[in-house]
Amino acid sequence: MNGLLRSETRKLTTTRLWLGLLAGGVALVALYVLVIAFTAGNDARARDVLPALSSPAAVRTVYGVPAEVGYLMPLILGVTIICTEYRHRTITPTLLATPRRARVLLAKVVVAAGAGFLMGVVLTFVAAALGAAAIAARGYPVLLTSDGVPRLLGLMTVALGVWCVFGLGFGALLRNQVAAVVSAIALVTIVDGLLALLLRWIHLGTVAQYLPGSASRAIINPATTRGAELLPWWGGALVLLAWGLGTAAVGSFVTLRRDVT
Amino acid sequence: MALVTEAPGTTAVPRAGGAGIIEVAHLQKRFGSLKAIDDLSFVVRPGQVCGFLGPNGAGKTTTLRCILGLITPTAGGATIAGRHYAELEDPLATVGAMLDAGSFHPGRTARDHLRVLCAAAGIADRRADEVLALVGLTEGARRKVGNFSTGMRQRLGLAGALLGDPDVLVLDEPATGLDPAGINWLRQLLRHLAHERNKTVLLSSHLLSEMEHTADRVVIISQGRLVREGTMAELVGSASASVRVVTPQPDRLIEALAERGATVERVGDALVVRSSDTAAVGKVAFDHGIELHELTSLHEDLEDVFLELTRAADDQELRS
Repeated sequence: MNGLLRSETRKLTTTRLWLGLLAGGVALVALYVLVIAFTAGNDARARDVLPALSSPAAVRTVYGVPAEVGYLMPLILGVTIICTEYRHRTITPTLLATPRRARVLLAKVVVAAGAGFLMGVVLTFVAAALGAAAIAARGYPVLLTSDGVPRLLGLMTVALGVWCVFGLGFGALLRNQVAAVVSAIALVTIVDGLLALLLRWIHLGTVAQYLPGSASRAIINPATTRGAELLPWWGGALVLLAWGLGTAAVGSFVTLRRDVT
Repeated sequence: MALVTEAPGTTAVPRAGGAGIIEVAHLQKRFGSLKAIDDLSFVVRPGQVCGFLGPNGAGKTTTLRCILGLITPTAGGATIAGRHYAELEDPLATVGAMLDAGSFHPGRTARDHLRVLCAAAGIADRRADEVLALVGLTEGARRKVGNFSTGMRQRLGLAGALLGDPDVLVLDEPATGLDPAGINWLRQLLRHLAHERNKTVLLSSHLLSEMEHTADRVVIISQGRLVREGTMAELVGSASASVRVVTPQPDRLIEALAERGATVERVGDALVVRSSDTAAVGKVAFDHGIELHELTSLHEDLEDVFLELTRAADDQELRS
């Protein structure tokens, strides 16, 4: 298994994609952190959406940017970990070297979790450092050690690892890289939200909180939920973990049986 | 000539053991309603290069993928050294394979591609450099595969197949994209591995002529069925020779040749005589005072034999 983990790690590090996604993630997180930090509380009408940064819940919106948007990068990374093998047909030499497919998939899940976690560490660090600087610049206390913030920072690193595993499972189901990346992003950014709205509309808002996007947001435990019902932070973490492992399990199960033509 | 095809049933049970023996037994694969492989059985033994031939779409790649455990057969199966591929203890040290003309990530270097496989198969990393040298790719080792020519990709695919120094090589169309020098090099290498190092080599091609100087044995399939199995020498022997004759008195010549027991066929305004002896045909005409306008020796080459064999299978398919 050690050899397989090394093999999967080499696959990641010998191409440049991870670097591009990490750079994109850093840029995305930095942009969101700055925009949120410098607009929060400015507009009287929007205060219930973006309240002033005087409460722990409000600063969590700034520090929680990796879980709000940064997770897209480990999600894409996870999709590509499996889809690139189908795209360039390297799945053939991979399965020839290790015909026991379950072991290949297990190694991929472990490497995806690790890579997503490391990405999470970097993005969380960027959000914390840049967020604290921006909040301080606006004259508010940075509240980095206050209510729920350290927990949020720690949980986000793990959550991004889970998102990478979710992407892996999703990619294993679709196999086509472009289709899988586009639909994974659409699923978490559009479908998830629309479904939540729809569920709330038919008074099933309690169901909506179990969607992956809502579960991820619950970890932030933000000041305002814009009318959505969210699980407590630990519930969100567990539900997100279930989504990641469940999707990976279904994707693996399908991959075990499928012919590689 | 004896066809080596064994009667169904005699090859059914995979024989135990036999290092390096590839055995395909009653292999069948359906894709939906399409029968890609239909009751295919053959054996490849160590010490020989076996050409696996068939026209495009005959099921060659599907068969090789079944042997390598990438495709699950609908019925029957294939074993290597008496085991299914997925049950091999050390797959890369047992079988080296190249499919799809090699499959590489264009952004990864040749060396890294092999090192990824080394790690997965528990092979020392320096072996990557050894096989790169063996296929003549040392120069390009640290270049991205995306910049490789087809011939270089082919060599890298072969390097991957040789990585575990396996007893069995399974290569799908390995000569595609190689220049004449490359094909010659490949031929020497494969014959060396089979004859000097007693390895089993199974390689597919859709060109019989390409195999003539490479393969010791051939397995020919068409429409997923075995049409011929035997040595290359037998196949070359079955390529028939004939004589083409043009005469204004075809009926008299046919009669005269028939008296000598020759088989004659009318092809347009010419006659084709089953014989390799041009002089004998000319003498028959001379003895009977028949005017000749043309007397040509025709040699059917291997490609014609191949076409005939695979076409016969097609016709059978249409009739059934």
